Amino acid sequence: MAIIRPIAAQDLDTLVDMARESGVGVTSLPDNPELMERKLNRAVASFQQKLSPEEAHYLFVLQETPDGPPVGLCGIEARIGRDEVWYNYRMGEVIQASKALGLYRRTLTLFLSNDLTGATELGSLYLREPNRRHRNGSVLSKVRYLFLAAFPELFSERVIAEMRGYSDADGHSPFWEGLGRQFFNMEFSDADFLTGSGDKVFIAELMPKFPIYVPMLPPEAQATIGQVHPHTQPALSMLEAEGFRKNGFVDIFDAGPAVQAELHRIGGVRRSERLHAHIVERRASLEAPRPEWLLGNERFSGFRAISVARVHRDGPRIELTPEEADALQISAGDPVRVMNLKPQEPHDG
Amino acid sequence: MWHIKPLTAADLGALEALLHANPLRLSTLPAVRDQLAERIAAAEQGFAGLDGEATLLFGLRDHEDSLLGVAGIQPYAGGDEPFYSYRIDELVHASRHLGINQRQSVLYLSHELTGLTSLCSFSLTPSLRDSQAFELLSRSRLLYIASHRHAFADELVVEIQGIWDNEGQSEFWKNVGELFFGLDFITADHQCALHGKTVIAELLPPYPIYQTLLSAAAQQAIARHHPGAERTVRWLEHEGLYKTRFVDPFDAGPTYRGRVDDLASLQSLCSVTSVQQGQPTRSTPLLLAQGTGSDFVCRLVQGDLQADSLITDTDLTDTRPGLVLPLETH
Repeated sequence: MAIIRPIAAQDLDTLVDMARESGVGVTSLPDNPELMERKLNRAVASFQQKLSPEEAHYLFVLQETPDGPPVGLCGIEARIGRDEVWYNYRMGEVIQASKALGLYRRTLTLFLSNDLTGATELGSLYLREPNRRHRNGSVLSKVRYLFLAAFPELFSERVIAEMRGYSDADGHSPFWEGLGRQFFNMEFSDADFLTGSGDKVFIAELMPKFPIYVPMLPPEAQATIGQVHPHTQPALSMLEAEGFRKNGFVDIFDAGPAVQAELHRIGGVRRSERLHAHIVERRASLEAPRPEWLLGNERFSGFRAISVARVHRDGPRIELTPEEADALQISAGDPVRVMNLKPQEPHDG
Repeated sequence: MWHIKPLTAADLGALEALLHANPLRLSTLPAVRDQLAERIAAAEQGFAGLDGEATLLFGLRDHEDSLLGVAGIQPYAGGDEPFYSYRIDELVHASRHLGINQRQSVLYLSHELTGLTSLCSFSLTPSLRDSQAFELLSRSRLLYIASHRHAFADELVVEIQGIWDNEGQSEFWKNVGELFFGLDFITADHQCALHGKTVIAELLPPYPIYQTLLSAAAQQAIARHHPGAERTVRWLEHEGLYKTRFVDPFDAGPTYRGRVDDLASLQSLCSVTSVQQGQPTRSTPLLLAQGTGSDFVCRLVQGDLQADSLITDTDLTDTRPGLVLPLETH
């Protein structure tokens, strides 16, 4: 049974450690203790409702046991682009046509855009290497759907996730080499800016503001537009299975795609159900290591979720063991949101 | 004796042959007979005062009246359509926070030069490029403008041919236009000559272009003139035209600009009320322009000014008043 809870002040050391080990490419976890502390404080304030819902950034941690240390992290940014400008390139087209010349050409063009401003973003997903087991990654990713389903009024109807773009084994991004680098007169490795000090917005402000005609970029750069890093392919597949689709926006540095879904149409949100706790003494069964279900307690500041192998349902009630109820910090009769980890298979009529 | 006269329909065959013989093709004059016939007909309308926007075409001829060169004036660049250029601008991408400060050249499509008077369609038999015929053909147009001042704008614009390789291809075009047309430079240039440059320029990429994203060769070609245009550039600079931040949208050749009334030639013009045969004490080469419209003629003569007359020892029967321009070589 994994337990997911809001991040707390005492998790700072763990958070800093996770940021250090996450390395290049996990933009949301830069190896910068000061920045991570600010991030943590903001999350704590968000759960304490000391920030307006628009300013909130929720971070959750995963523990493999009720008293164990946090081993994973995930987040929900309530509204992106609120305190700094949010940039993407929108993939568009320029059409040149002339009847006289018998000409009709479509040219893929990247338009600098702030259009995703105000969307809710799923991000900050990280799981420590030894704990990448027991579906913990899937649990961390999907527990956010329970929170979105419980408190939809706090979020935008537009939910996005930005996927890490393609880079080669040496960490070189062909898109960055072909475009971004042309606008910087200093030696600048991807690692420097991605893991740097949260300077993304400063760098963004140096990027070209006018549309970029894709055919003017080197072929290697063109080929990576909208492509994810090979390591990110499973995450993309998981989001797609939940109804997320590429929305035509890409990252301005590595051209990784953004995916998007309407909150109420996210698979996990749709298939989650609000039931009531019925606490039963059950003979401790051998806990299967692979969880199939996520349960959440529907509380805001005291949010708790657990992953379990199976659920016993009785109409509008769900049967919980006392241990499960303890982990969820609920009593008999309290609401419980239940979600199968697996997206529903589409079935024929 | 070399002289300049408006082209007429009778020059069609000779003009076609001239253009075929010149290795530097003209974006504004296609070496296609039907097209040339139309251009000449339009020019004749212009000289006759029936069409103020028609491109005027002048022919350089020798004493046997053989056509050796052609040059044009477009009274209002673009005519009734926009005249396209790229304007080179600089943007500073700077961040105090990151300690970065970098200038970026950006090419913007521009219509700013629309409506200026453009000197264009210059083609001279290669063997005459270093002779005084070059001066005569180039500067006779300024004499025409001076004697029909009301028919032209206050500023001149001249597009100079950019860098083309030995095959006639442009690296700049390959990086810019070709991406949007799928046509190589020679084909596109030919289409320009056939359909007019505006029709083609309307298909150019509408958004500004960052120079840094072009190939090194394309970047180097921006605002540089073809070696074959060296003499023209020197002449324009002598006249007082200056190189602008505008370049041709096809080959990125430079564009020169200047006020008509400030040009060196217009400053040193004299009016004469008559031309007389004689033996002047000091005989120097002069350009003499007489007549207006279709009757315009400009000759290279030897002579001197006395009071308000030109005394020439060149055999000349035309004694009409005219404009005289001392011919210095540059």
